[in-house]
Amino acid sequence: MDILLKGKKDFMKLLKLVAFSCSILIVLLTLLIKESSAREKKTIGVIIPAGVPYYEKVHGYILKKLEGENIDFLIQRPFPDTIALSNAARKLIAYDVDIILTYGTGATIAALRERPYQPVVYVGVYSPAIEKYRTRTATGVEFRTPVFSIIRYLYSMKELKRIGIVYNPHEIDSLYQVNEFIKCCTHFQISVIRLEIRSPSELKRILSNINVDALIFTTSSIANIALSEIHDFAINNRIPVASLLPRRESRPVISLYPSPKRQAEKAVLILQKILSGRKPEEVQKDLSADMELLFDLGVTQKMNLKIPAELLTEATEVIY
Amino acid sequence: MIRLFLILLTIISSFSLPLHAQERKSEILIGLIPEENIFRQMDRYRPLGEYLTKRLNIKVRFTILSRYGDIIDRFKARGLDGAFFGAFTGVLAMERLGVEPLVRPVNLDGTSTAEGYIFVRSDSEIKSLKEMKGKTIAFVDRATATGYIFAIAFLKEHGIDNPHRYFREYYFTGSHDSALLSVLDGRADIGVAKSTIIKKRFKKEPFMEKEITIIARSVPLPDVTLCLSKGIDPSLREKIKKILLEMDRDPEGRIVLQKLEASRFISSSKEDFIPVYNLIKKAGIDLKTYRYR
Amino acid sequence: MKRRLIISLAILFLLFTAGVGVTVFYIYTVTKELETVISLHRVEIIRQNLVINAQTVQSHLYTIGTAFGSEVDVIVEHVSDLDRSVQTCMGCHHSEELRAKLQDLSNILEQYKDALSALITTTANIERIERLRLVAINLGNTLLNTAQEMAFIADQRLYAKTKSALKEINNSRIILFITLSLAFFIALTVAVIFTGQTTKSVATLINTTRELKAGRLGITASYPYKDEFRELAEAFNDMSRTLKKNHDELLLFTKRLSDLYRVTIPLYSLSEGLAYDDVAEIIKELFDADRCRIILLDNSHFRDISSKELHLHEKEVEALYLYYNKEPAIIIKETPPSIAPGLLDIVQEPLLLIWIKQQDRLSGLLMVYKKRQGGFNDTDLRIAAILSNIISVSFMNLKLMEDLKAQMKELKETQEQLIQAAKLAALGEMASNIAHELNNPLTSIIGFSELSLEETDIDTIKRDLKIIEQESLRAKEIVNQLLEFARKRSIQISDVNLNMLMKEVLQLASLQLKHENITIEERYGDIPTIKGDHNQLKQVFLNLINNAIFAMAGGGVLTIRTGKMDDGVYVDVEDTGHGIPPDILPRIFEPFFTTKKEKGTGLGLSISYRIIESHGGRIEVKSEVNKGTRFTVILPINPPS
Repeated sequence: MDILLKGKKDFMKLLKLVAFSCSILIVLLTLLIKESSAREKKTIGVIIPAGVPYYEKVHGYILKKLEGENIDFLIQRPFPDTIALSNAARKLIAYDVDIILTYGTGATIAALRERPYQPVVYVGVYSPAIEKYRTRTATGVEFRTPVFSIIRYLYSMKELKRIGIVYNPHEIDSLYQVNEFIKCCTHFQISVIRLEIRSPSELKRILSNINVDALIFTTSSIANIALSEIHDFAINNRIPVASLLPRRESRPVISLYPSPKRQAEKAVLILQKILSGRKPEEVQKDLSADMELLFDLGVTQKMNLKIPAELLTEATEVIY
Repeated sequence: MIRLFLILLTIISSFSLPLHAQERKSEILIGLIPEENIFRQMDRYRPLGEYLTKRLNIKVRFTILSRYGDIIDRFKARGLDGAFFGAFTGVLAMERLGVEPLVRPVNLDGTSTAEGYIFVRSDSEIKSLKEMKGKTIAFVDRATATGYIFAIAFLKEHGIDNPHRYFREYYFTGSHDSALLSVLDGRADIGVAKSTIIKKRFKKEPFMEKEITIIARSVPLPDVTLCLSKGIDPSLREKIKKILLEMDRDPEGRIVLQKLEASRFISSSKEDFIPVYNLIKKAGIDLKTYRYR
Repeated sequence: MKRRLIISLAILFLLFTAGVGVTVFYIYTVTKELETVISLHRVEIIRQNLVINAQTVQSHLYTIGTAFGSEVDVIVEHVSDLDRSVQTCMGCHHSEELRAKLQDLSNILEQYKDALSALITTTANIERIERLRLVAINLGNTLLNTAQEMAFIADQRLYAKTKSALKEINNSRIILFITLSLAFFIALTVAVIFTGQTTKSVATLINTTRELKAGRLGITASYPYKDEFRELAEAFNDMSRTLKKNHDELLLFTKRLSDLYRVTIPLYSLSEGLAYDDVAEIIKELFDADRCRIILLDNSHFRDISSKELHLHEKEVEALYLYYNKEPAIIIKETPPSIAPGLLDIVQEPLLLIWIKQQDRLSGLLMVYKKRQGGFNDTDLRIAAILSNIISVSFMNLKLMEDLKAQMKELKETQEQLIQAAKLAALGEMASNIAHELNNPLTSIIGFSELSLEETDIDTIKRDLKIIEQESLRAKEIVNQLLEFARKRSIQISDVNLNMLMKEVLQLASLQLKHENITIEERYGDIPTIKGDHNQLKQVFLNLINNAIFAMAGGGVLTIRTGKMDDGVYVDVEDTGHGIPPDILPRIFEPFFTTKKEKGTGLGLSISYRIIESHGGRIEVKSEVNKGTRFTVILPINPPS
């Protein structure tokens, strides 16, 4: 009996031990699973305005840099109007992504207006336009195009009296840029014709009864898409085109824009910091200079414009 | 027809030039380092050559030393008798070729020196040295005091011992204008270049001045200085010096000076280059081993 | 009645004077037109100058940056010349179209100068330098094209001017004719009216008037009574005579003008040389003379161009010219003064001398003889003076044309010589060029080594090292080529069987040929052995085959053909590759000219060319883009020692 009792006591002790260790194990396991799942998959929701090759290019560089890291990308490519952009942002918030990555000023402002709880990382944002919308959850890569340089280079190719600036009043960045151009052109005694478009197809109609010496396209996505429609018109009428966003196949004479590769590199640095747990407000936005100057010599010659030697030496790249 | 023949002669003789340069002193060949459109520069200097030729009775000719390659080697290879050097190239030529400074022109605004500028765009976040970390900087060339060496000395003075690591990126633009444009276009955050070239540009395009903010300046350094090779006969040397120094008192000379865009020539000596030597020392550069190409 | 007569005669006189005035005016215009035509020819020379300067600068653009740069001075000098040429043109052209073109030219020149200046002074990086070089070359070509277009416009202007000058001459004829006929008809009308009004009183004059009306000018009426009508009749007779005289003179003048015009026609056909006989014949008619001699200055003697029997010493003729105060034409009625004894023999009858001048220098004379009708009068002398001018101008024209032709030919020759000299000079310059070529890879190597030392990222270091490796290989390649080039001195002449040699070469290249999937066709002819350097010839053919392989990357057919020619043997190396575009074909033998980008040194073909040349042979090349290229090496059996 004693032995039996003793055995029973031992058994109970063993049972208790097993139960204890089991519970510890379970706790440990659940912790472990939770831990590993936390480290495993992160989802980045991406908003790329459709039809703008520049943003696709930047995104391509970012994907390449983040290759091998365990990240899911949930990509939205809405048409670049306010409603479509907001809808895309809402979808990503509802999907509960970990980070929202936005391209361009329009998409970024649309996302910030939805006040997401997730951190927002933006790329290719025109710095003065974002000033009013900054929040604690947002950080990213900004730029500032020196409009003076564009006017100066255009002026060195052709005498300018009237220039047309293509913009979309719904895209705030382009509104800011129009004002900068007007300020700069007053100094050069050039009159500025505001070419306001709300859809890419409008531009051709507007241009048919307006006379300008040069055209400038702002960073508006709509303007950038419209650029592809007026290529022949510009060449036939010998109107040099400058653009603040590149669009190589539409062959603007001058493009001055933030380097897609640098923008991507800077964005990846910020993304990596946030992925490793830093809060957006601790990560500084980046506004360092990284402009690229693309000069299309082929079109310049076709239009029989002056070829300033300075443009040849200063251009980051020349298209023949 | 005669001109064609002359062209042929020039082509043929130009190949044999280095061989004969030593023997004949019937001609004085002076190098110019390109500072602007070289055709314009030649137009500025040509009357000076004609004036000296007339006064000395020896042919004085100018030749453009294109920056391509090594200026010191080019000086030797072309058998030059002298050149208008900049602050750093002047020091380098004194050390390596033994040339001696003779005179330098005074600009129309009364200056005969230039400063180095470190500048940014006016709308930049950079207000002082401490915001420069991690940014992009555009220098002119390793062989310029105002476009590189002064900036390195400045950074070292402020405790930045490895300037090339302090910035995210640095590059050389090849010309002072280009360094200015790099910053204006937003291709670099910070630029380093010579004050005279920047001021000239501001005068031509006044709007630029508002776009640029200067963060730091160097002490005044001798700008363009005529240095002559040791091999020149001392009496000839004195004669050249005398003619140049007295040019502004001669009506014909004044016209030549006007074309050169200078008010007069003033005497120059090795002492004028002491600030340059100081900068070089501060920048930690050893002139004997410095590789600038 | 008297008053009426005086008035009608005054009208006639006025009309006649007007006719003469018009004639003189038109002759003056025509001479002026001709002067313009001549000055336009001069423009052509300025343009040639411009083109040569531009071409010289262009040719230096290909070498700039590869040598130590004395060509910078040459460029600066030629660009200044170019500037001056354009300024000269700006100073004198007036046609709107040409002015616009000149403005274009001047704008392009400014851009060209900017690009050239930037090209010479830029150090930043190779890509930028190449950009500038490309644009500078393009601008230079545009400059040349614009100059050619301008020449075209100037030619058109010249044509139009000549045409309008001829038209002016024609116009003057018509106007003269109209003026003279008008004078005649008015005279007739006046006569009729005059007759009608005095019917009764001048009944006796009616018949005479009728006759006059019928055109028999100069007829006189006889009136027996001595009254006012007698006076009238006499006045009428006077009028009739004057009319006849005037009419005759007018007819004569018209004929002369038309003859004068006919003289000018052969004179305008400048390019063909002058039809002297025609000119002489017409001049004879013009003065109603018996004979006309054309005597031209030929080698310090004046010779008759048709008979040759007459020649006068230059000094003698000049003395005569001076004696007559340099009048354009003179009449010698009796014997000439004794200062020209040579002339005494030939002058037996009244003689008209017309001088031909070229730029104030006597270059010939026309002698017109007339036995009948008492010789020449003042009208003849005036016409002779005009003729002297016209002939002088056209002779000058002819000479200018010949000069222009000769100058153009000379220009062309000099240009060719220039190109040849430049090529030779480039060859001589090779040593310094190679040193410099070596400098390029070495600079990169040093640069990238420095960069690597500062770099920590292993990938970047690897990438830098890769570049250093490539650059080193490039340097090695240049050194090898140089050694091969230098080895040329110790030429070893032996008997070479080219068929065997080609087989050896193909053996050497066989691996590469196989690798590029190239089939070989060998067609050896029966050829004698030649004297030559075995190794050097091998190098030549290896180089040609290497080029062929490069041209046929990805497959093709390589044909080797040998055979005998009358002066030696030939070897064909033919490929079916991408061919050489015609614009670079003339340059492939220049040192450092290469289309292989990184791979070639651009020395292969130029060395080959030298080797074959030193063997007394030559290389010919035929190429068609996208079809293939055939190099033919022709070698003499015994090379000159």
